Formats: sequence, structure tokens, C-alpha cells
Amino acid sequence: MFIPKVIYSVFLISLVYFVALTVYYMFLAVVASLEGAKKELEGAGEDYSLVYFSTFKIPVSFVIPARNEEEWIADSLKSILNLNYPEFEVIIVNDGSTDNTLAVLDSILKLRQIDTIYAKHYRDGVVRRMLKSDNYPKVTVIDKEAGNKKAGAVNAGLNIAKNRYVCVIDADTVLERDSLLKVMAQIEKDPDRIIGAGSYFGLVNGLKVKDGTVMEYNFPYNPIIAYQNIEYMRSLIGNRMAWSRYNATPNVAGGFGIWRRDILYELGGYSKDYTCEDLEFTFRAQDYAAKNREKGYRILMLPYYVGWTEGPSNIRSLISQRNRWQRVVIETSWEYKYMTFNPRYGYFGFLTMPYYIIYEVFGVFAEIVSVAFVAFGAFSGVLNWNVFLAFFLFMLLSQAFTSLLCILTFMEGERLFKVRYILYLISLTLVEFLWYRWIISIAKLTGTWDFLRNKRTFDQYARPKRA
Amino acid sequence: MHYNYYSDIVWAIDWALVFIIILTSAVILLYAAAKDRRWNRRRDGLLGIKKDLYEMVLSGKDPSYPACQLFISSVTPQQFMDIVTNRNKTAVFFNAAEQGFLKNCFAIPKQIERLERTAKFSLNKWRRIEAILCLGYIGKKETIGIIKKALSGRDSDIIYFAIISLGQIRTKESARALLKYLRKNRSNSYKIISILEGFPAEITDDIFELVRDRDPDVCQKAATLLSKFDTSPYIKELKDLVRDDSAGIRAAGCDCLASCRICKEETTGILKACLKDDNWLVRRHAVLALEKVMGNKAIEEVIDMINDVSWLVVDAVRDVMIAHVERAVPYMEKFLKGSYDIAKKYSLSALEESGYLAKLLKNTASDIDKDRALHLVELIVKAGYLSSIESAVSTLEPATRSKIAGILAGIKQA
Repeated sequence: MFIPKVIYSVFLISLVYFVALTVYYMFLAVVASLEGAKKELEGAGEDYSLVYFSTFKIPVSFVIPARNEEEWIADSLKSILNLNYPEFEVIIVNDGSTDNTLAVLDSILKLRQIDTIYAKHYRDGVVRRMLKSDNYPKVTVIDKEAGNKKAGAVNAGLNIAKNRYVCVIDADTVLERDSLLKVMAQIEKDPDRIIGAGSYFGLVNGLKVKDGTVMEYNFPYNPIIAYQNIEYMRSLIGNRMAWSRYNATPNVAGGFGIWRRDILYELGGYSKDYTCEDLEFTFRAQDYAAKNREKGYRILMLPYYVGWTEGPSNIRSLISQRNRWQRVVIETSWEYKYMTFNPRYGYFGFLTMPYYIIYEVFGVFAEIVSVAFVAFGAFSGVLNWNVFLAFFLFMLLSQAFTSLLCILTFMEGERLFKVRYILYLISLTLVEFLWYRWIISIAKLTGTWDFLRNKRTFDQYARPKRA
Repeated sequence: MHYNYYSDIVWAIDWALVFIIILTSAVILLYAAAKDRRWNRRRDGLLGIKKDLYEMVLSGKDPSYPACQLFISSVTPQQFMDIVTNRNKTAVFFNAAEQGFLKNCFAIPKQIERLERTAKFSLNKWRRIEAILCLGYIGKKETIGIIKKALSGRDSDIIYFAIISLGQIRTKESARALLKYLRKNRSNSYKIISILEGFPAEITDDIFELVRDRDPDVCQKAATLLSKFDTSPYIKELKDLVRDDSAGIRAAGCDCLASCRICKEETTGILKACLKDDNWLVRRHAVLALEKVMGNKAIEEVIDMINDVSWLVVDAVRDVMIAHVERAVPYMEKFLKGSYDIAKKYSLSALEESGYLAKLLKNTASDIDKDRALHLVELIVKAGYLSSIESAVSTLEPATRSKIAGILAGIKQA
């Protein structure tokens, strides 16, 4: 009597959970769609010459933490040096690389050691030396010992960053030429209040990149990468664009994130106490914004595709990356749990935090438990196969539908994908629940387990050599 | 006990989802195809305009109205914006001359009337915005009234683009409208001052009026803007700004004083006093302002600020030292001899960035001012900044390099 009751309860709770989730995604898709369209129209009417030629233009400091990035650092750096933006400095932090990262940098920059001022404002680790470029005077390289994670490397860069806004990007991010101009044009609308901004970036895997410029946008048909493209759409456009509408952005991603330097200073820079640094810092900034509500601080998420970053191209690497992401999601959600349904945090407390806790932290258990129980019920004869099939199909279809909504929302922006590739993505969404979803679930489960084991290391997954 | 699993409801949801998925997939594909088609049509339209323009020029006609009336009446506001802003430059690029011709052609009464009607009455907000922007880019003074009206609306997007549009018509009237908006609203203030700095100097009286505003935020923005123009006529009143309660206004006041072209003596004393301000922002602006007013003579006034507690002030001092390195050298020498590490490092950084260190090293190997150069290099070596010397040497000719290596070995031995 007990088992059927449990299965029945799980069935009903799961049904309500997934219906609620689908409705929530529909709501986010509608809002993201409206917000994305608005931002695209705003961008189209913008007078970029004002941003470019005004003496009031806002200079930006790029901080690029690099650890064993010999494959991508050259393209990443060249893409920055090619940027269509009038004033910026570049600070690359070689975070104890054991490969040829520094040699690659030297070949482009012609580096020389300098005895310059280095004041420690943030927790950074041991800095060995500072190097300046002869070829590009606006580039400085900090050579530091490994340790203190990516946060320490970014903090080392922040120590010498001079400009009002700091743009932190990954060393494998290749930026689009107009990316910074587009984002800064939005920030310049209200620099007194906009303290942070992120924008859409996709996966560079498969794209033809030469000297820091994407020559051909030939998106790969490797399903692992294609699924990640869908996930990036869902995460960066489908969800964060919608949350941004309500100033409830939870994450300015490390791949491309702009922050006002005084806020970074006020908050003590990035923290090395977490597996990754970007999510936690955004939560901290939201906390700070809520505590200084009268100042009306905003963190923006924009729909412009600003660049491309490397993602895992096989299942093993994917699991390793998502394990890390899951740990940081749990660490951060746990640390800032007091924000949930807390009126002081407004939409962030009511719209974003519950999603993080219910879906990002516990969602994996909900999925596994519901499918397992209903399958057990069918096998043991407690419920008939018709119910099982209906339920399984519901999960598969609701998953496919939410992914399709994200593709549709994404389509409002630039024309990136060809019709043939879109057709491929649509077909992938229909079978996502059959295999890809479970790979992510495994990664999330191992991530949760590692969190419980108190693992806080930043594991870099094995990356293939570039062709 | 029998449990109702509502399988019929779940199946109904499933079928509904199947239907929605098919529909959404179809919409996505149609949307993608339509978007491609629209993009191609947009590109073809622009290419057509370019072709018409060139045909007209090649046929020997003057590329202005009425010669261009044959094709210009069919140009849409969206195409006009594409042309004047080159926002679709990947598709078709219009150079300044082409833009100029087409701008003149587009400014026919019929088009303006159509745009004015859209700007006033269109129910589609973004159509209104496009029309408002077009009116601005056409640049006819007569249309300012309609754009000004948009500025007093409630919709923040319409207001923002009305500001951008007014910025294209650089007249006193449009400046007044923008300043009036700045007085009443804090939003978009940064954009407005960015726009107004490109306006002719005749608007300075109106900006100065705003400097007198009681709202510190407005006053600061206006003072910052005013500092981009010659502030000589207002210098008497501007002196009061550096005594304001707000640090932002005091800093902007320093900038304003530095922009006075004919009142060096008057402002120097005031700026010197600002070096003692409690706030780092004011001190930093005072350092840079003094450099602007006094040129290389500012070194004597600002050099002691190298001991300032704020690194942003010290950084400003370093910038002044780089700009006037010859005059700063005796002070740097003193710092290098001393024990204050920050002053030493900033001096060295200034010597390096100004290229003076390489010059010094060259001098040690030649007969130009050799003793002084040797003395300074010796100080740098003794201070332990060998990397800087090493990298500066690496930029020199091989022959000079080996000579300097010998000299450095001598210093090291001594």
C-alpha cells in the first residue's frame, strides 16, 4: 500500500513541477523576446560616433586571466587589439602556465620586464614580474605563480587596471570587432547606475578563426557542441535577457563581463573561495545593489553577440565542465540563500533565486527521481505502461518545447545560423531528453557529490589541439 | 485503493505539446527564411539606391534635388537611416560624399512632411523613433519643434532617440532643448554632455546658466561640459565652484578653470589651493588642470603630490612627469636617492614611458651630457631597477648596447 502511494505522490508532484517549469520558461521566453527585440532596435538607432569620438568616452581595461592557453591566447589577444573602440588597455595575467602561453604572447607583443608600481588592492597570489609590450604599448602582462584560482589571476589584473570599467574575458574568447562599442554604447546611457554588463557569446568550436577574426561562421554538427549552442541560447538569451528586464541578472559570465571598477574595489574583487568566480561575484553585486537601492544600480544583459569561446567537444570534457558549474551554483546559492523570497532583493529574490534553488540545485534530483519512480511503477505493475509512456513523453516534449522557445527567442537577434543548421538544432531538441539531458544530469549529480565532499578546485577539462 | 493518474489529461497535454512543437518549429523555420529574405531585400534596396546615384552622376547630372527626385521619393526612412549611419555596412557601405548627396536629396518637403506625420502620429513606437531620427539626420532647423515635443513625452526610448536626433542638428535651439532636459532629468545626462561637447561654442552661455543650478548633479554635469569650451568669460563665477560642498563639482571646477584661455595668473593660485583638498578626485583634477594651465612649470607645483595617499593622484603626477620629463628629472633624481619606494617606482615608470631612460643610456655611451646621464643611471642601478635598464638597453643598437654593458659593469663593480 505504501509503495503505490509514494509512486502516486511522486507522479503528481513531478507533473506539477514540470508544468510549472514549462510555464516559467514560457514566461521567460516571452519577456526575453520583447527585451531582446527592444535592445536590437535600440542598438540599430544608436549613434556610435558619439561613443567613439567624444572626449567623455569611457576607457575600458581588459583583464584576461590565462593558464595554459597557448592554443587560443594569440587569437584572443589579436581580436582585442583589432577592436573598434577608441580607448582601452589590456592586462593579461599569465597564471603560472606550464605550456607556451608566455612564449606565444612574447612572439606577438615583444615583451620586456619592467620595474613598475604594483599595489595589492585585491587577493591575488605571488606575482613574479611585470612585462610590457614593445609592439603594443597598451598591453601589460603580469606573470604570476599558479594558485588562488582564476579569481586570483583576475584580481592581479585588477590591481593595475586604471580605467573606469573593467572587461574580464576568458583567454579563449575571440571577440567580435564591434562588440565593445555596442556594449559600451548601452552602458554610456547611464554609467552612474550601470555597474555591470554581459552579452551573448557562443562557442568558437568549429568556426574558422584567423588572426583573431572569425572568417567563416560554419557551426559544427557535432551534437555535443550543437546542444551547447542551444544551452547558451537558453542561458544567455532565453533566461538572462528576461531576468535583465527586471534587473535580476544572476550571472555576468566570465567569458565576457564588464564591471565598474569602483564596484569591484568596493566588493574586494573576485573571491577565490568558490570553484568559479563569476556567478558568485554577480550575486555579491546584486546583494550590494539591493543594499544601496537608492543609487539604482543596474546589471545589464544584452543580446548582441560579442564573441566566441571554446567549449567541451566530447562527453568527458562536458561532464568535467558541468560538474564544476554545478558546484559553483550550489556554493553560491547556499551562500546567498537569504535572498530567496526576500522582499529586500525584489525580483532577484522572487524570480531568479527560486529558479536557482528549485531548478539549478535540486532540479536534477527531481528529474531522476520522477523518471525512476514512474519507471519502477510501470515495471512493478503499480501503474500501467500507458501512464508511464504519457509521463515520459510529457517530459521529453516539455524539454523540447522549452529549447525551441529559446531558439525562437534567439532568432530575433542577428542572423547567425543558416536555415539548415536551425533545422538540425530543431531535430536535436526533439531527442535531447533521450540522452544529452542525462549526460548533464550525471555531471550535475557528480558536481553535487563533489560539493558535499567539499571539493572547491577549478578543474580545467582536457582540450583538444586546434587543427 | 485505486489511484487516478489522470493519464488522459497527461496525454492531452502531450498532444497539445506535439501540436505546439510542430507549430513552433514551423514558425522558427519560416522566421529564419523570412529574415534571410528581408535581409537580402534590404541589401538589394540599398544597392539599388547606390546604383541610381551613380547612374545620375555618370550621366552628368548634378546629384541633388530635383535630379534625384526620380528615385529618392521611394527611399524609406529605414533605408535613409541605413545610409546615413552605415549600420548595415557589411551589406552596403556609403561613404561621406554619397551620404551627403542622399541627405540633401532626402530633405524634400514631401519626405519631411511624411516623416513629421509619422513622428507625431504613428502608433508604432519604433516607427516614430525612426522618423524622429531621420528628421535629426536630415538636419533641417524647421523640424526641431517636433523633436523637442518628443523630448517632453513619457516614453524613455522616444526621449533617448529624440536626444540623439537633436544632437545631429547642432544649433543653439537644439542645444537649449537638450540643456533644458538636462536641468529637469538625470537620465541620459552623460549622453547629453557627450553630444553637446561637439556643438559650436555659441552655446556656452546656456551651459553656464546651468552651472548655476542648485542641483549639484546638474551643476557638475554642466561644469564638466563647460570645461570643454573656453571658459574665460565666466571665470569670475567659476572660481566659486572649487569651494562647493560637492567634490564632483569642485573637480569639475578645476577642469573649468584650466579651460580659461586668458586667465593663467588668476587660476593658478586657486588650483594650487585645490591640491590641498580633502578629496582625492579634486586633487587629481587639480594636478592635471595645473599642467594644462602652466605647462612644464607645473612640475614644481605638483611634484610633492607624489606622496599623496591616493594612487590615482600619484598616477596623475606621473602623467605630468611623463609630459615634461626634462623638467622633472632633477626631482626624480632626488626620489631615486631617497627611501620612499612609491616615489622611486613612479619616477622610474615616468622615465621609462617617456623614453627618457633609453636616451639616458645612449648618452652614457656618447659625449652628450655624459656625466649627468652616468649619475642618473648609477642611481637607478643602485635602486635595484635592473629590469628597466635591461629592457631599455635591448631597444638600442648592438654597438651602443655593448658600450653600455661595459659602463654598467663598471657601475656595478664600483
